[in-house]
Amino acid sequence: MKISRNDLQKYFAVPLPSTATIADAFTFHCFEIEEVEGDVLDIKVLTNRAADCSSEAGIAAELSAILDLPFKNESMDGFSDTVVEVSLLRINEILGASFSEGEVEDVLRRLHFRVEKNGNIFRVAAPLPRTDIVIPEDVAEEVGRILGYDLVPATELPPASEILDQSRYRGIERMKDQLVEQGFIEVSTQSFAKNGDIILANPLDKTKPALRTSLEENLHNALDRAKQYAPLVLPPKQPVKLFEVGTVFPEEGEYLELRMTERVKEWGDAVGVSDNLSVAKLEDYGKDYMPVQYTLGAYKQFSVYPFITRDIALWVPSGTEVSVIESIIRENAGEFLVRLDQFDHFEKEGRVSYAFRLVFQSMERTLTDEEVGIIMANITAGLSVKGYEIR
Amino acid sequence: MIQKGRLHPISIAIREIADIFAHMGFGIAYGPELEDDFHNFTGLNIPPNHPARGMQDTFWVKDQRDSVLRTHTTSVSVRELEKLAKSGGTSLRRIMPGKVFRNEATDSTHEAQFYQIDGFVVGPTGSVSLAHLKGTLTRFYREYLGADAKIRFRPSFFGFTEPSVEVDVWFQAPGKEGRWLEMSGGGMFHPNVIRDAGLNPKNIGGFAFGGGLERLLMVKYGIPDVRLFYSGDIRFVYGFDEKKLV
Repeated sequence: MKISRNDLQKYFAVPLPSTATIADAFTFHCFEIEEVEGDVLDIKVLTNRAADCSSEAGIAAELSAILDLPFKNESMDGFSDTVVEVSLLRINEILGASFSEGEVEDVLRRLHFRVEKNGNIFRVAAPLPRTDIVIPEDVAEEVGRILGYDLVPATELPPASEILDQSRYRGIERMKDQLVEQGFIEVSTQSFAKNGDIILANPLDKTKPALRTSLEENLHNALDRAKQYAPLVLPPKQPVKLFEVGTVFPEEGEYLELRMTERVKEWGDAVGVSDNLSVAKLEDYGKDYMPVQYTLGAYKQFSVYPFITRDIALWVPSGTEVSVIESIIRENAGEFLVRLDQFDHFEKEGRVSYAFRLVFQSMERTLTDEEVGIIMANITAGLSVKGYEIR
Repeated sequence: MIQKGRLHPISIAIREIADIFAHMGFGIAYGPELEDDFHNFTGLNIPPNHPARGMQDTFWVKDQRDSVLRTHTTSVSVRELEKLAKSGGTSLRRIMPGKVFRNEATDSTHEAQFYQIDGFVVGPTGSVSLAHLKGTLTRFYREYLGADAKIRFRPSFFGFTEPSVEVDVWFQAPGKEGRWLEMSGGGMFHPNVIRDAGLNPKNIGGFAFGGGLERLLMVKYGIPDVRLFYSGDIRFVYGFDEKKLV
């Protein structure tokens, strides 16, 4: 709902603060402000406040409560029939705060609630347009938001009394750790599929109206692409093996599937390429297992342009450090060398042969064979200068 | 020699988060992705025609009126509270990581399927408060994003909590200016949720929270596009320097 500072000013005898201050007042005490343009606020009225805040007057009444500014020409329609009984203790229990009786009374006054005190109990009725004050928790919310949630302290939980249960999670993660040890890469794919037993009434992508019944097709497609991109991320002789753990939805009911792109040789002949983790006894398997923890560095976006690979093999004298050869290659390769792997070596008559794979790629454009050819010629020249023989 | 493979960044994040919450006594629970109406909506104090239903873009299953793709893992809270009611317990702490679905047009910041981490704590009435929610999330974000992280609450409305808050997190990415980011929602369980799960809201109560996981990772690691997560692309999985912690 769009409303300007001027629109609001009509309801107040005293001058309102700046539009920015009004925006903050709403943001931290009532509603999200979607946008401020000049002196116009775009207010996202919460669904439970539609009854009283769909009008200018309703929004102005809310502002008067938040800023504690008198409302001009107040006309009251009376009070809700719903009377909520709540104690100061209960309000503070819910919020975890230690507000005083005076603070609570002040909030209720600012909101124009009708309040009767009965011993320790506040008997509260909201002004009529408001339909959302029904239970003690509603009153606690009014107190919290009007006084400000910054006044609610951050309190740590006491130690837990029940036994920590993470066994099923740990079982699932133990399976993943085993696969990573065996050289498998975890991928995650879409749950929506072309065909399946469960069809959505309102699919987002009309070509994929179903839920997958197996991870097989997605994993097959992911493997095709992984083989294509492997030189960018894997050493030359590393086989490309993928796995996914994800929910599948066959007719007989959903389950958590583990699927690999090939069998795990170390697991023996009896184990196939997929497993139903919903029936596997993963709680026992994970009970005492601590999943491996990793830290990740900042994400480096990959290039969307094609890459070019070149291999180079050379003879060097025995005792030559691989790192020395690699730094000569890097010095002569320039910025487009994105990966360098040494993948083969053998020794013969006092000399060693090393083979390297080089991967070239630009973040900005498609490289040509010609320019990579020039780079390779520079590298060859740089290595020859050192007396190495290019094979 | 064959090198080790790699975990997807979502798995790595869930492990880190599970570990932080384990130190605060939270177990982990799972539930179905294809949910019934009760566990996704009605049991969360969002009955038919309730305005909060309109806030979530739900995928419905054809010819099965009672089946939806869960729009939040809060559905698992209902299942866990039901179990607590059956067991006669009075206290429980759980986080629920899992895939959820929203029928929204996709772009670099919106996916129709994403991961959510929801959590809740219940205990005898008066023992769990909104201040505990603030303390729990403050500790979580500090341990996950860094010691400079801080949080603030803003009023909100979800139906299944009362009071309800949006949770903003102050985060400064390396080399960037710090800013407030809307990271999750939370509040105190509405008494109707406790009652509908078979517990007595006079005796038991607590807080709940939940937020998208990808957004947290996008902020922490500078990932530009949420669609990378479910692309099945190994270039994304290998887009990070990885260090094993022992």
